[in-house]
Amino acid sequence: MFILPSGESLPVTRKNTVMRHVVRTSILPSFVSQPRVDNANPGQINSNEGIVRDIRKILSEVLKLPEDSICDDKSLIELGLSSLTAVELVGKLNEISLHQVLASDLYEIKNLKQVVTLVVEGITPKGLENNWLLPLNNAPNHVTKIICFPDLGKMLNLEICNFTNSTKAAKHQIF
Amino acid sequence: MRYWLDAPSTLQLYAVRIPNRTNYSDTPYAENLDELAEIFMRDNYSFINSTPFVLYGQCLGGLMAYEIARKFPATGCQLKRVIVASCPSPLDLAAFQREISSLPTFDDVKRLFSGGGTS
Repeated sequence: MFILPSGESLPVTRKNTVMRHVVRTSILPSFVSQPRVDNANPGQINSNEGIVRDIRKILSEVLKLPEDSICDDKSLIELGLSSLTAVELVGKLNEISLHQVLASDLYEIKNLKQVVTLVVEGITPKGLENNWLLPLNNAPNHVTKIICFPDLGKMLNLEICNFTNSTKAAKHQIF
Repeated sequence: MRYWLDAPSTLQLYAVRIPNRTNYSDTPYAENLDELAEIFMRDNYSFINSTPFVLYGQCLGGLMAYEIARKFPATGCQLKRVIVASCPSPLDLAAFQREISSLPTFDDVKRLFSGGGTS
């Protein structure tokens, strides 16, 4: 049972079913939604555990593969995705996704993490490349994003900010 | 910003690429900061709001971070902090912005900042 703060509602998919994986990761208190560190398999995806498990199950059903054979680092093409199975897979992914997943998105996907990103955040691998936001580090288990806005003046090549003098001496203001 | 590459694995850092200022040129050019913030929200809201996030801005980037933060609802969003460095309080910049817009040439803008930057 969830008690929601006033003004908030449960996230639902386009088919009006509750997005359980989003509830787990964003509505529950942070100490509950902290990703577990998988010491036995440090390379494995262990954030968004619920959705990863659901996606792995879907891939297993559609591609007719045992779940443990669906590696994190294999593309869907390598796992045997065809035009027919892509249609079936899109239908199943759209049942659990808030964002619309297209069959064409699936062919660009290179690993399971990108499937999760597509389903949870609606961002295709191509979209991420062209996005405003350029990832600076690789933190697959992150619980917080830091969005860094560079100095626009410097970017605009307007030499209006005296960086050499001001950066070290600047008083950092925190709101 | 490069020092942040050693950030703990619980933090995912993203650098914002301003449309038409870097290689990313699919988004229309923004005429002013408010419009830039609007476009940013339109393109990135669902992505950055999917997990708790912090906005960090340097110098005039701090002003943009502030403008974007104002566009998030007071409740029900994942914005945790806005950190502004090397920038005066954006509230103090309102008069400054009016002054800038009335200046006729770029040389005047440069002259305005010749006294030591914005901090």
